[in-house]
Amino acid sequence: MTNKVQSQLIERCRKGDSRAQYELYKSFVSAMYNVSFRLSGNRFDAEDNLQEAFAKAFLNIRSFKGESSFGSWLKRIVVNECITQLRKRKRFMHNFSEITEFNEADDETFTLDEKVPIVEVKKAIAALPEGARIVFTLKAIEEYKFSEISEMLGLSESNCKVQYHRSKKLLAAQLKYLVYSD
Amino acid sequence: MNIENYINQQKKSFDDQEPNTEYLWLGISRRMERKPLLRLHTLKSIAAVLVLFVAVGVFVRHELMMQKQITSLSQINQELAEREQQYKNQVEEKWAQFTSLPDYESPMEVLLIEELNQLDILYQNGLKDIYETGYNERAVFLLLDTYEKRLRIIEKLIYEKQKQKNYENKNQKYDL
Repeated sequence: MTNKVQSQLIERCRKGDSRAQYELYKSFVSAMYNVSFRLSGNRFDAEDNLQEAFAKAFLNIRSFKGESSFGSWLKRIVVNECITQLRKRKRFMHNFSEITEFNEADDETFTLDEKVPIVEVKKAIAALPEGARIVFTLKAIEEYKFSEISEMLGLSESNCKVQYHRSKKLLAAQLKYLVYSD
Repeated sequence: MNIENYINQQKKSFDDQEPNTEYLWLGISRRMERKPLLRLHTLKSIAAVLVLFVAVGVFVRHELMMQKQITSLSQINQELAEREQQYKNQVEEKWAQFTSLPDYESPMEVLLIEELNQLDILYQNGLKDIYETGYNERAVFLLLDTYEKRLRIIEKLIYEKQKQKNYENKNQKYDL
């Protein structure tokens, strides 16, 4: 979809055109569903959060000023919805408060051979404690800055960094046998 | 390679979930239909809260007016203002009539003037009562009653003066 077509669709969405909403939805649903799935951890929550996020986005599309791309704006809504729902279920909050200081010495160099199957890496990420998994996903896969993650989660930047390095350490431990097998 | 580079290289493999597009859209449409109703409900709640605030504001203002700024009955309502003004006019008229009469020393006059002073105190106490407890019918009745009593006392004063005057005139006649 070209930028011009997208802008026209957004304009029509602002006027409440449901066909334009559907067109815009179709062009983003796959990417957004995967974001929602990674953060929610299961299909049911991912679907629920995605539906809520899209509904919010279309109802508040007038607040989209074009300062970022529409995709980034929409993704942020999806991410925020997932975090809100996780927070409501209090599934990961306790994980954040455990570590408050990061020791540089703990940040062992963790390398992965490119031949390591992605399926194994995904399994290892999914097995991370909730808090560490969220921070790792937001940083390494969704490519948000620590400052942005800190704002989304309502945590200090240093706490987010600690969680990220902790998650890498846990991943290294889980994937050790695959790393050393080469 | 480090984990970040590894993920970067395998980025596409992370987007491997296939959404059920039509099912999801159905849910989104339903949620969008539900939202305006929620908004309407929210607006109704806000309106109800505003009405409550205005009502409380009016009540508090009324109470403050009643309790803190009353210096006469005329400040309570228009009807009382008119009645008080009527009484005031009558009292002034009678008082003017009384003062136009020549001065005669009379013990009765001293007593009646003292009674008028007592009525002034009673009136001030009535206002104080309204100041402390708010508007009440009994206090208003007592305040209006002080005007009635003033009128009766002034009439008595006039009568006493005229009686004194007649008595003086009679004496003068006999002296001549």
